Amino acid sequence: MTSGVFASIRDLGKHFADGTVALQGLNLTIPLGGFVSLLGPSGCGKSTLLRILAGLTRPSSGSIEFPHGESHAARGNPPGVGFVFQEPTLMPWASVMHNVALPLRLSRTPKDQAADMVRTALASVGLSDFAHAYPRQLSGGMKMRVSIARAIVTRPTFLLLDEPFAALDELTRLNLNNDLLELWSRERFTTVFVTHSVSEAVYLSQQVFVMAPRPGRVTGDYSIDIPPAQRTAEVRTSILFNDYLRTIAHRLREGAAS
Amino acid sequence: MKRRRWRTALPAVLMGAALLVLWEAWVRHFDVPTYIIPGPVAIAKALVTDWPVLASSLLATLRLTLFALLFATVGGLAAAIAFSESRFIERTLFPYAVILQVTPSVAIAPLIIIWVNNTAVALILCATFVAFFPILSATVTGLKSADHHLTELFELYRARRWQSLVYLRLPTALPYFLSGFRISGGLALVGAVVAEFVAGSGGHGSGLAYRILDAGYQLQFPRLFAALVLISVIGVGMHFLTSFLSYLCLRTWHESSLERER
Repeated sequence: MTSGVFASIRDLGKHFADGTVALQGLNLTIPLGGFVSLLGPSGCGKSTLLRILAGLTRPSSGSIEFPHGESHAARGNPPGVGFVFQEPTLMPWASVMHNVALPLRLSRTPKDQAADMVRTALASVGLSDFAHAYPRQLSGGMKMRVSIARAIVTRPTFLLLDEPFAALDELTRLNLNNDLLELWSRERFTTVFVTHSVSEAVYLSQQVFVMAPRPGRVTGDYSIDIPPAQRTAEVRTSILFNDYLRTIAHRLREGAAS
Repeated sequence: MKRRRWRTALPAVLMGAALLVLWEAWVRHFDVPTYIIPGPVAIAKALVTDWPVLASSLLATLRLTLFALLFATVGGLAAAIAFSESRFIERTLFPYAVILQVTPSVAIAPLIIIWVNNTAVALILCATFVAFFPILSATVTGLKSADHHLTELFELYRARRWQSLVYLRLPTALPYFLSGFRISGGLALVGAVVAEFVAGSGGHGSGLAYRILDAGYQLQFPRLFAALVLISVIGVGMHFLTSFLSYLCLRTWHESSLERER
């Protein structure tokens, strides 16, 4: 299904001015069009890695290559990147429509073209009826949908999500998981999803990277061989699914103990 | 809704009316001389009989106050944007802005009146000076308060400087600016009155503060109080004007302007 490599990360290191080593000797390959999760306890540098991938922070050592002609320019960000933060991070003074349109406005996309793209993005997260609402009128889950719509409105090739559903209630979270999967199956943007929930990682991803702290590094790499069509509520209770959970949770504990 | 607003205003109105009646009764009963304090009726009479003089003074003070607020707003906003856009300008000028701010403007007013030949300009300068700093410091704080994730988002999409100023930092600063603006609305009047006091009779088309001085010299105490009442009226007017403008700007999104249903 996936062919080729989207990004290959070699011997990546990141340390901060105060001496904290966030990442060290990290190797990772992100498949083109794949859905990858970074799973680990807090402090293992998974958010830092995501920010490096987005071009928001520079690594202290090592390299990231985007083989498909998309090199990590000196000060640039990987082209066509969408980012979803842990909080919805919406502008409270702007309507849903204008929040979603922000990336297009910043790139000065022509107005009618932008309006079409915003409509499409809102429809794909099921918020067409709320285009004129303000963020304060929306529930936490809806705000997160707006945030996702904003991230995909530019039709990015690369979508990064930093524990986007961590603050939501379980039911909303399950719903958004399904929506995200559906979106990904349709669009096939290369997706990197940061989470500390094992079941969320297994349910969503084709590949799960387990990370451990001090210093942040990858300690496990698991392919999840469940076809997208089978990823429904039932799969969560299947033996296969729970085997993955057990193995990965075990690895996670080992990493944390070391 | 309307009816409820009336209800909430009612106690204050009754209290005011009761005080006025008591005041009048006290003045009459003890035959208090007007140079100590005139009764409300005498003040109202002065308001009517001296209206032509008072009205022109009212207009003068009102005009001065509004111009001062306008200049303070434009200047305060411009300075705040300059400070937030340029580290260099901020480091060079901000300490002096603070020194000017903490220096009581009443002490500077006479100097301005002496230095600037044109009285009208001197008055506006004085009043503007008093109203300027709340807007400046509130807006500077607001421009620095943008959500850091939103700031990163702008960075991610390679926003230009003007874009993050216009689409992110200015909207973030709006509620801060408006709270400075409401304070400055009151201070513009204070500045106007102080300036008029200091300028004294120097100005033609003199304002309400000059009326107060003048009525004092002439022992026209009811007129003095009438002028005072009109100053209060301007103050109340400024309060409502600035609050209303602030409400208009924030009603769609900001917590301070939202009505919650319970």
